[in-house]
Amino acid sequence: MSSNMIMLKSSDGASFEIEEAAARKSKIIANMIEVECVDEDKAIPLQNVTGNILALVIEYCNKHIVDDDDDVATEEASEEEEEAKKKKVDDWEAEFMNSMSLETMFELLLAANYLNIKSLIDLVCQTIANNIKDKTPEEVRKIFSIENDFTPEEEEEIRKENAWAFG
Amino acid sequence: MGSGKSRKIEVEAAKWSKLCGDVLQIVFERLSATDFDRAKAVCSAWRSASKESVRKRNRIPWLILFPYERSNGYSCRLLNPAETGLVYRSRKLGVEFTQSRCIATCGSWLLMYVRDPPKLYIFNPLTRERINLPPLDSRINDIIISPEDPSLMRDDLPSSREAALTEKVKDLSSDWGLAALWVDERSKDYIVLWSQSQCCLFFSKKGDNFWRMFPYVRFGLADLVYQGHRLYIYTQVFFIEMYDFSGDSPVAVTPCLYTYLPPPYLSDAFTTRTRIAVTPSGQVLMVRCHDIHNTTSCTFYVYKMNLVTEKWDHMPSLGDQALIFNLGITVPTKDIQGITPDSIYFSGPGFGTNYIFIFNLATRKVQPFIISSTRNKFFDARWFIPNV
Repeated sequence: MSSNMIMLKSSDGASFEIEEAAARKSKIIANMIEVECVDEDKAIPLQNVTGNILALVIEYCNKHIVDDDDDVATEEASEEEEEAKKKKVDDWEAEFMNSMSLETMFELLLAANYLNIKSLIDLVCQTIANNIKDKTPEEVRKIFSIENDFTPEEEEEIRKENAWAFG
Repeated sequence: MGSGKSRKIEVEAAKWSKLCGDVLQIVFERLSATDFDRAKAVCSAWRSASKESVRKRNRIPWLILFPYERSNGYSCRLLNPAETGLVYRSRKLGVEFTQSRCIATCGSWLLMYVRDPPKLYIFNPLTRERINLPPLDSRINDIIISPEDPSLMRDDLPSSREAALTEKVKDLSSDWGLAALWVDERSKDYIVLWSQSQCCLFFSKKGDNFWRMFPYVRFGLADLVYQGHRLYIYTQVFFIEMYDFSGDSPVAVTPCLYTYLPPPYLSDAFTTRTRIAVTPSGQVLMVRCHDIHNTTSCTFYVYKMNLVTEKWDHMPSLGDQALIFNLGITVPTKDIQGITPDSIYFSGPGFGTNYIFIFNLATRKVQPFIISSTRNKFFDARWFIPNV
């Protein structure tokens, strides 16, 4: 199984080699490959992604490369195997997200958005949503270091609109 | 290094609030209604992004608990089954609200009945919007059906209709009272239907300043459901009738697919209540609830009409639907969190807060829902599907 390798270059000049199948997780890169603007010997420059974040993106893509191959073979796999496989991916994703700071998560989200990797965007957004769950606005501000920039009038308006309070 | 770190935090501070709108939407889509409501209050950028959000409308039943008069600060409690352990409190809803009984719901809207002097109004407890309805004594009989119309009963006496026009409204929240409500969330178009004596039905639409007599009641009314601009009536002779309300005046839907034979009894236990429920595709189901007062023997049976044999067949399972008993509808549960498929959500009306549970048709077991400490403080409860 020989697969095409592609070179990616981060904004800070680091180069990464990645299998084409993994790189295709990014719609942007997949498009570049389709229209053949990828030169075999030249690295694709990604101005908006730093090396350490690109390393994470590549780690994610490599882990999920199998999914697409599987789509063809799913009929053969038993339901149990499928379940086990899904659990393994879920566990890996949980560990992957757990290991990073909110700062890194933010950069990763920007990168995933820029590279258009839908499943990675979803994964990070879900993690952010989990961080917001059951928190008051004040707690959310604290976690994400967001400044309360409402005027007193807006505050009052929000207080009126906000239908929900814990009883 | 120390100063570098603090600078880093400052950079971070600016960033989360400047997350681009599209991505923020994806986060918002993943929040529960209440978390979303609170996320709006985090900062101005999130607030403006929330206004663009096309989050999916809530599709699961919540429980609304009605306070006793002069208790609990005149506010309702709301329980979302997807968020166990959390109880939400509505804003103060005023004295009149606590003196009213909820007799029907549609989305977040409640049809409220005040007993003395009798009055109906529509109220949204989340936004506190209120729609006043015509006085109950403004009743007219303006829909004339031709004497040849087959839907007119032969011995239908004009005098009994006349009497119904002036009959005093006694108690719409009693076991004999029936009511249905439909409200369009955007245009606030509405239709309200009520019947107090089972032999006469009145309705009013937005723009009417009176109640119109529904002309087609031939047999006593046992139950009614209004869904998808159609009125489904279950008569006391076990027959289902359907009327289209999309035009100015209601029209009977023909051909009628339901026959007179009642469903077979599958339980010896006392039948507490029989009612109809309409599926999203417009099929009418019949639900019998037995022995409600005993949580161990309490059981439900659901039936659907077999068009070939023209008999009601027992339905052992609702599949991926859930039936909301007091709404008289089934709702899809597939890929929706916080709702139990193949189950019946039961709450009154008329049973107070003592019988609130989810009956699982697969296991045929009752799963109690409410925390007992909450129960004692509220006199009534309903499953409804708030538009949040």
